[in-house]
Amino acid sequence: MKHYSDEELLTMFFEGENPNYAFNLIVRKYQEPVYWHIRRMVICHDDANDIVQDVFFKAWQALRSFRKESALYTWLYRIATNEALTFLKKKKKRYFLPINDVSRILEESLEADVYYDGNEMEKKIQKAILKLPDKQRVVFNLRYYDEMKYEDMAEILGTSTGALKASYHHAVKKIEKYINP
Amino acid sequence: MKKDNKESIRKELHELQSSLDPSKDTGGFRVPDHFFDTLPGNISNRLSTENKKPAFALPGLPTKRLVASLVSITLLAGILFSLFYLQRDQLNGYADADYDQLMLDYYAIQFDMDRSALYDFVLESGLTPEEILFELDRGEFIFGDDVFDEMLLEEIFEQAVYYGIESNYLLSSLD
Repeated sequence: MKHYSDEELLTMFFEGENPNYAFNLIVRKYQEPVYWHIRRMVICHDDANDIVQDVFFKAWQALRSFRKESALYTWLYRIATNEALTFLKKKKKRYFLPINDVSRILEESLEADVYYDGNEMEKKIQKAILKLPDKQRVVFNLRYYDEMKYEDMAEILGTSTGALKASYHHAVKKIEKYINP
Repeated sequence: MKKDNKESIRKELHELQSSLDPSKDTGGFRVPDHFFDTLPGNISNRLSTENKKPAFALPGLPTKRLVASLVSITLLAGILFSLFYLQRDQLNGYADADYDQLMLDYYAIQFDMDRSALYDFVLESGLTPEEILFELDRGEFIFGDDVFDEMLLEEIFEQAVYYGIESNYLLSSLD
C-alpha cells in the first residue's frame, strides 16, 4: 500500500472525488497506534475494539470541521484519549467504585484477557502502571510505549510540556518503587 | 507521526535512575489474528449503517401539526417565564444579595463534593505529605515555573487531600 502523508490524505478527503476512500486510508494508517493507545488504557481487547471504532466514527463526523491547526495524528490521539477516559469514568460510575477498585478490576481484566501474554516483568510493570491515576497513565504510556515527544503530548492533552515531564518522571518513580520495592 | 529518539527516552530513564527499558517491554498485549486486516472494514460498515439511519422524525404525526404544537408550547413557556421574573423583582428588592449568597452556598457544597470525590481518586497515590509540601514550598515541580497548571495541581491537590492535609492550608501555601 502506498504511504500517503497526512497532508495528502486530507487533500484527498476534502478535495478528492471519494472521501470515503480517503478516510479508509486514514483508518489504515492510524488504526494501530490509536488501538494500542486505547488498549493500554482500558486493558480488555473487546473494550478497546469498541472504543477504537467509536473514535474513527467520531473522527469521520468531525473531520469536515477539522481546521488543520493541529496535526491529524495528534487530533486522532486526542479523540482516542477522551474516549478512553470517558469509558473508564463510566465504568467507575456503573459499578459505584472508588478509583482503587477500578484499578483492581483492570488488573483482573489483565489476568483474564486471552489476548494478553506478557512475561512476568511486563505484567508487573502493567500492574504498576494501573496504580497510577488515569491521566498520569496516559502521560506515561504516550512517552514510554508510543515514544511521543513532549510537544505532541502537550498538544494532545492541552498541558504544558513542563507539567508533562514532571508527571512522567513522577510516574516512573512510582512504577520503579512498585517493581523494585 | 514523528517519534522521539529512543535514545533520548532511555537517557531520560537513566537520569531518573530507573531500571525500565522500553526496548525490552512491549507491554505484552496482543490482538486476535488478522484483527487489523478486518478493522477498517468493520469501521466502514458502521459508517454506512449509521449514515443510513433516518433523521429524527415522529412517524404518523404531520409536520405542520408538530411545528404548531412546538411554537405554542414555546410561546406559553416564554409568557410564564416573563411573568414569574417580573413578579419576583417587584417582591424582592435584594435579589442580587440573595443571588450572591446562593452562589457562595453553591460553591461551598461543590467544594465538599469535590473533596469527597478526590478522596476516592487519590487512594492509589504514591506521594508522601512531605513530598507534596516540599513541592508546594518550592513553587516548582522538578521542571520550571509552568508546572502549576491544571493537571499537575489537580494531582498534588488530590493526593494532599488523601493524606489529610487541609485544603485551606494547601490553598494558602499556593498563594
